[in-house]
Amino acid sequence: MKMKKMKVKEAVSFDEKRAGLLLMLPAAICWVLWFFIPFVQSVYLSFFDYSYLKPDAKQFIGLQNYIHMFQDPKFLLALKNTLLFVVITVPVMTLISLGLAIILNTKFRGRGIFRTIYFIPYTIAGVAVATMFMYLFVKGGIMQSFLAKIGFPDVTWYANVKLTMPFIGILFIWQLVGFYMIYYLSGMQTISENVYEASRIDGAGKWQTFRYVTLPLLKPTTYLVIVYSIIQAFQLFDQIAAVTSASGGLGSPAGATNTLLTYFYLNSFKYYKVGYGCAIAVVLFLIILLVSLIQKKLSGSGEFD
Amino acid sequence: MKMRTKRIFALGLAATMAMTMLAGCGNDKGAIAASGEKETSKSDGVLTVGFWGSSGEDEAVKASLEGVEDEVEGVKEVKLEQYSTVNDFYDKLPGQIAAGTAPDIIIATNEQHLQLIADGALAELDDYNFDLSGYASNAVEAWQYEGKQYGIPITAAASTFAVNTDMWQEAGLGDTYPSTWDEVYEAAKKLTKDGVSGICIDIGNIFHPTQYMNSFGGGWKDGAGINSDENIAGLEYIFKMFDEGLAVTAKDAGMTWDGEVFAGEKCAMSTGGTWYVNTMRESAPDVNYAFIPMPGGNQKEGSTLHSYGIAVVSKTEDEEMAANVAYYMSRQDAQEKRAELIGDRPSIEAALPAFREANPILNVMDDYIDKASSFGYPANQEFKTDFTTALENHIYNGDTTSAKEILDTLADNYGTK
Repeated sequence: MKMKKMKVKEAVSFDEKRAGLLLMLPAAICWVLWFFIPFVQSVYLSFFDYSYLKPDAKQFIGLQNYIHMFQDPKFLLALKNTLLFVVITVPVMTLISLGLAIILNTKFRGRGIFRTIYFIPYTIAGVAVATMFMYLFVKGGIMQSFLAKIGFPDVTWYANVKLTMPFIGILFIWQLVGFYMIYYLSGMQTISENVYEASRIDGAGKWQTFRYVTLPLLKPTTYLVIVYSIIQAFQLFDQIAAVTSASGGLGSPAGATNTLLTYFYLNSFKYYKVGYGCAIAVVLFLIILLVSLIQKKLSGSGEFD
Repeated sequence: MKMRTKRIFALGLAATMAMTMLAGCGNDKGAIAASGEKETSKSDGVLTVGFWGSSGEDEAVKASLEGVEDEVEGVKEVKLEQYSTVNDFYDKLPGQIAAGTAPDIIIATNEQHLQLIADGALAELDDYNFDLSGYASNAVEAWQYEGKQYGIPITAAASTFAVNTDMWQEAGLGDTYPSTWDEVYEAAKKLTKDGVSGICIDIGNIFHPTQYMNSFGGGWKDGAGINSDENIAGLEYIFKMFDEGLAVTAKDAGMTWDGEVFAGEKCAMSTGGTWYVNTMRESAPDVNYAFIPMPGGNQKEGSTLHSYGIAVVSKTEDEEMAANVAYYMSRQDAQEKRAELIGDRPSIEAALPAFREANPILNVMDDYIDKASSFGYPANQEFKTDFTTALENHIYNGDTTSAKEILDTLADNYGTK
């Protein structure tokens, strides 16, 4: 009897595997063609002095692009700007989205409307959001005027070296917070009511329930939110391009918006230093991978608790 | 989904997203596919012309190609590949060149052509002995490098100085407009009031500071003149205008370019050009303004020559046919049509009367266009970023590095002298 059951299980398992592989195949082929091969090509090109304008003059230079990168003050500035942006925006965005999710997970009239309203910014193109925010933060704009009255400098935010990245950060968070709020909402709705009931019976207050029940059970969601938002923060580009494209170009003003991705773009597509651009992209890839591994480690070792 | 599975999923997602970014670097073929389909075989008389611009530009290019199949031997069809913006053009073209799918002929300006020429992306045209005697000589020179011709100019316009005449009169500045930068400085002091700046200097675009360098008698000279005394004087003047609060940038004014600032009456004066005419006509029909010659500085004078040209991509399969089509496209009646459609000033002298009649406000440049010189930026495009960054550091960040130090550093990094 036992043998028969195992055979049936194996037969089903084999069919499932085959079906699964077949279903994955189209996506896998596309992924190999459009991502994996170019990825390998990028790593390969990062060891060359290569310009699209002079493809025949491609020259192998070993690790020179990587060595030069860490002696290049513009790359180091881009690295600093990127890390600062990630370190500041990701926790802020995570906390706000969690807060919004907690509020919108309670029952009150119009809850659905608020959920929709908070999610709408995510559906708007980054360029459109940036343009709208530029009107708000230009000297004399509504937000700029208000902020000037409470002590902020009376200047156009995106033309000011110290304020332009905070400006980008504000619009970045505003646009994405609704998206992560939905993540948290879905995470909260997977928590069984029985768990809350048990905690109430044990005498836990609201804060204790949140601290010792909700938050630990949201750990997988928090992990996803943090990993995904870190990647998005590292890959920030559209908003900067929109804000700087009209005047000054990527990195303007005075290098304040120079991030790893904009610097990669400048080198690859403006200065035509494709080899160097690929080296920057490889380093960015490794940073994101490393951060994700650390996140996984922290999550797995229970640091989130 | 189990937590472990979620983590694996998240890591996979992270790797894929990061790889997606890398794919943008390595996948030149993908970028090309996105820019439009192209014929792979060009030996069958089919050529492609690449250009950027508006629908007017599209019409002008089509007009320049009328009758080409009859006039140029071997041509069966000429296709158009229109890029949405100048940035789009320069971002995609190199990848297309590397992949062998670039247009055979391009229409570009003399602002960013030098890297294409220096890196061998454009074909030399001297072998074809085209008669360019009727073309503005400085426009012809703008498309030369190391004595060789790389493009045929189809426009030739000099930079001008735009003055809001209503503001000028209201400030009691009389009927005489400034002829030197010192006079502009004095006028700017009187014109700066009530939220209006005396002058707009759009430092975000190197084009504008270059007007100052050239009018102070300097210029970049393809990298040979970066830290000349004239350029230092020009840059010191720009700093003075900002330090004393007499100048505004387009970004500071919350606008995208200097013409918008001028049309919006946020400044009383600005360096400009032919492109101001349509903007003023459409955006500010009630604003009265005048074009005057570029003021001189440093007891010298000069202005910048802006010229669209037609060039042949060196990797084209039939260079001679492409060169002949380029020359055909530059003929007089094509330039006249372009002037009518877009407002560009022709490079052929014989095509100018109609332009002068249609654009009397621009006739001022006839007096000094012969002295105008090309932009002359060094070939390395990074120069522009570094120069703009240095200016922004001074204006937005209070950096006290002197004009001489800035230009000396740039000369060390990008100079050819």
